[in-house]
Parts: sequence; C-alpha cells; structure tokens
Amino acid sequence: MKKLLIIFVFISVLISCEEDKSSNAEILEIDINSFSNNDLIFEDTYVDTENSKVFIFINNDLLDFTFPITLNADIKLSSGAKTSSISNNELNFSEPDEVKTLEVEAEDGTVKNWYVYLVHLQLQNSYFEQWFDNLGMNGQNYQEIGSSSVTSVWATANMGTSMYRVYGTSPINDNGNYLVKIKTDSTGNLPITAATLFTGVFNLAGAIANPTDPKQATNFGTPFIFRPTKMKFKFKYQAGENYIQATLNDPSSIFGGFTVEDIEGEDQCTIYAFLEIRNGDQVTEIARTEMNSGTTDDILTETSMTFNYTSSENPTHITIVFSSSIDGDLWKGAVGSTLVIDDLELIYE
Amino acid sequence: MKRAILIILISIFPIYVFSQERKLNFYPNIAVDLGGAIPFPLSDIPDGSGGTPKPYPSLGIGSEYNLNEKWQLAFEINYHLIAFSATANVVSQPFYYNDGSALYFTGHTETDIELRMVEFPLIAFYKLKEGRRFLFGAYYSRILEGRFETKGINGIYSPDKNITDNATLPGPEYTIEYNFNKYIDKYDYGVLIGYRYDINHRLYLWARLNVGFKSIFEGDFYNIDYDMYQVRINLGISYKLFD
Repeated sequence: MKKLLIIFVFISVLISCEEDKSSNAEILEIDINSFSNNDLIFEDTYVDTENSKVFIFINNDLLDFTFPITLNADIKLSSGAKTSSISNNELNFSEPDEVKTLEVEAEDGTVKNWYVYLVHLQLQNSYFEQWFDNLGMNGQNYQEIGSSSVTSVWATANMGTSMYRVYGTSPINDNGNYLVKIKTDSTGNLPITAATLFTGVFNLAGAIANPTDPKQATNFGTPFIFRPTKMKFKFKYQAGENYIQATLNDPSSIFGGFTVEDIEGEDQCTIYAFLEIRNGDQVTEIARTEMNSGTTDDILTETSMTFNYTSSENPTHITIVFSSSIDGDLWKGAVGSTLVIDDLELIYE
Repeated sequence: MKRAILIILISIFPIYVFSQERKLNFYPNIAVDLGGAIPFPLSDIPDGSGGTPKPYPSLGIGSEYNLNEKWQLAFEINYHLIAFSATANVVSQPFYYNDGSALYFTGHTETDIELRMVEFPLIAFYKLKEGRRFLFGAYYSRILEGRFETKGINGIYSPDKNITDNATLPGPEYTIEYNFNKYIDKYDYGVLIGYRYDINHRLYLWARLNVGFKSIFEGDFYNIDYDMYQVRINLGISYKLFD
C-alpha cells in the first residue's frame, strides 16, 4: 500500500511537471556584442513579437560592404526556450538581404521560427532583383518579389488576384536586370484592380473580409530608423486607354457587382513614401514625399523625390508605395495602365 | 392604465375559468437544443463532413387545452439559441456573383452557425396510453440574430472549375473567412414531431424533432448553390402550473 502511494505521488508530480512546461518560444531581447567588420555602426535592435521578427539596425549602406559579415549577439529567450540555430552566439550573413531563420524551441517542445534582418541605409531588395515562385490561391505558381513571402519587406496584391490568374505586379527580365512592372488589370468580377508594390504586408484576410475596401488589404510599413533626405529611382508610365469609374451596386458587398462608366481624363500612377514613429497604437507621421504622373516617354527616367520632415526625431517605420492607378482604391483607373520602376535608392545628404 | 388593467383581466379571466374546468393550463418549459442547419438536398453534404451541435438551454412558456380525453392542443413561446459547427472537405464549392459567374473553392472548410430566435409552436398531443403522448405540430420562429461564418483553409480558389476539380492540396497557407450573417433570414417555419412522457400529473418530459421548411438564408441569397434548413432536437421538461 505504501509503495502504491509513493508511485501515485511520483506520477502526480510527473504529471504536474508536464503541465507546468512553458509553450513560450519567444525572443525577448537581442544584444549585439561585435561585428566581424569594425566599420559597421550598430544603432539599435527591434524585436517584433507579433510577427516573430528581429531587426538589427546598422547605420551603413551594406551594399558597399564585402560579405559575409558575422555578428556576435546575446539572444535572450523566454524561460525554458532554446535554439540550436546559432552557435557561439554568432550569426553569419552571406549578403545584405539575407534573413536568418532562428528556430526557437519552447520548454514543451513547441517550435517557432524567428526571422533576423539586417536593416541598413538601403531597403532590402531595393534594386528589385530578387523574385521567387509563390503558390497562388489558384494553386498555380507565380513570381513574387523578394526571397520568400515570410521575409520580404516588399509586398504586392498578387496573392489576392491570383485566384483569377491575374498578377498585377511582375518582374521584367531585361538581360539579367530585373525591373518591376505594375499594371492595372481587371478580373472576372472586378472591373478594375490597380496593381501595387509597397513596403509592408499584403493582408489577404483583410482583403477578403473587406472586399469593398481595397485599402484594408494592405498593412503598410517596415521597421526603419534612418532619416533619408530623398529617394531616387527609375520609372516610366503608360496610362491605359479607357479611364473608368466602377461603382459597387451594393456598397456593402462585392457579390453584387459593379456599374462601370467611362470618365473624362487620364489615369495617373502614384508614388509616395512616408516615415512614421509608431509607439503602440500611437502613430505619428514625421516625413512624406509624393509624386503623381501621367504618361511619360517610353524610356526609364531617373527621378528623385525629397522627404519633407516635420520632426527631428528618428522614425521607426518606412512606407514606400508604387501604384499604377492613383485612385485604384476607389475603383477608378484604366485597365492597362503600366508603371515600370527600377533601382530604388535612399539618399542621405 | 385602463388598457393595462383590461389586458390583465382578460389574461386572468380564462385562467380562472378554464382552470376551474381544468381544460386550460399553463406551464414553463426548460429544454436543451441540439442541432443546426443542414444542406438540402442531403446529397449536397460533402463526403467526410462532420458536425458538432453545441447544446444550449432554451426557455419558454406554454398553455395547453384539453380537447377531450385523447387530444390536447398547446401553444408555446420559446426562446432558443441553436449553434452548430461543421467541417468538410469540399471540391469545387461555388460562390456565385450576381452576374452568374462563380468562384470555386477546393479545400477544407470550417463553418460556425448560430441562430437566436423566438419560436411560436402550435402542438397537438395524442394520448397513446396513460402518461404517454405523441405530439406533432407546426412552428413559426422569428430569428433575432443569425451567424453563418465559414472558413476556407489552405485551399485553392479559381473561377475555372477545371482547376479546382483537379487541385492539389494543400494550397497556400491562408485561411479565408466568409461571413454570410447578413443573409440570414428573419424568420423560419416548419413542423415538429415528438413524444411526451408524463412523470406525474404536473411534470412532463419530452423530446421533439423540429424541421424547418425554408432555407435559413434570404430568398435572394445566391452565393451558395444549395439551401440550408434548420433541423434540431429539443429535449425538455414542462411543469404544469395548476392542478
């Protein structure tokens, strides 16, 4: 009887221990100790727990540096969690745009992937050379910007329109140099779908839940703490022929279809960027630049846009948006309007 | 004030009179609902589908009238909350637009249905033997609030049915939610059958099967190509207020 009691107590303790194991697989903090290149200027880190991302801000243009670069970091994990993705506290980056994946295992075995970015004076993939095959909603692969849907700081609306085999934002391969083609199109049920390229995340759930409000499909912005004075890029634009305004028959439902009418004027592209300080739900815009353009010459032209600052503080996020129809979110534009861009660069003077 | 007094008098009078004759009586109900809405025809239910009704209590009041030794009539007012979750693997499930075009979906779905309503059943009871009655009747119910939300999980979408017919799953890791709450109709009607066991001369135990005769969706709802009808089991007890 005594033995039975001891076994019972032992099993109870085991069970209670099992129940107490934590499922937290979080990165709480990251401290950078050193870099393999002493010219690198470390600024700060930011742990985005909501999206399981870690951003390491370096006040250099990493495109001017020779890679690989190794950094030594202390990573503080949640209690009981561990990672085997890093040894000797060293993270090795083979190129500026590489995003390291850290697999963090919680005490109870739950595994969570974290993504570590080097954020420097230029945005990831700002020359638009990286594209990858992404599985669309229709089960077919299409070309999406970046190296993966999880790690790219750039986003498009392609996933939303992929069910109609429409990919408004696509690469143009010009003898090995990739440009971005952003083209307003239509689908079977949408008379107009303006294409876009922006820093942030395409929110497919938002697009589906709010099909009558295209703006709900975009979560703008990526972490960024520097203060560019200008942004420079190459572009050309051709407006589509028939400028239309589509109006929802039932303002609350996309199932009700649209009434389409031709309107006067010509479609324009819009290119804008803004810098923000985000502190919880409080968002303050501190700089903006904006440009709209009608049809241009059929050659890529380099242009620059100047940021107008309203604060001397550093931002926390940057949003850059390219769209082929300025009022696309109001279902207004011209099918066929095409914006081509290349070689985005942030200027610091 | 006069009107209120009149209403009270009118209400009390039959209770007093008929209670004396023991022809009319009143009872509160408490019951448990199990059920939801199912596609009709039943062949539209996808293979491998599963459903989980969520039991919720219902409350109500009723009055019964003894027609004769064998027959009774009853009228009730009941508040119900019925809730149901369903899962299914669907192939080329269409969602229609009003221009007749469709978007097809192949993949896994999870659907939550919830209806809050006030039901007005008229029920006939036939005495089989002492303490046992067969019951049948009809009901009208007013839907106070309806929820019909479905999620398409890791599936393939296309306006081309050939693509969804031959889709390789899983598709992209996305869960897309469709909310058809606003298309839930405001009323329902149908029939019910059941059985009543009289535990004693005041306490009844009963089971009912309610089947709706109209789709839970509004008549002009065209996004899904089949109707869905309320089907629910109601298990409860009633307590007769007067001897």
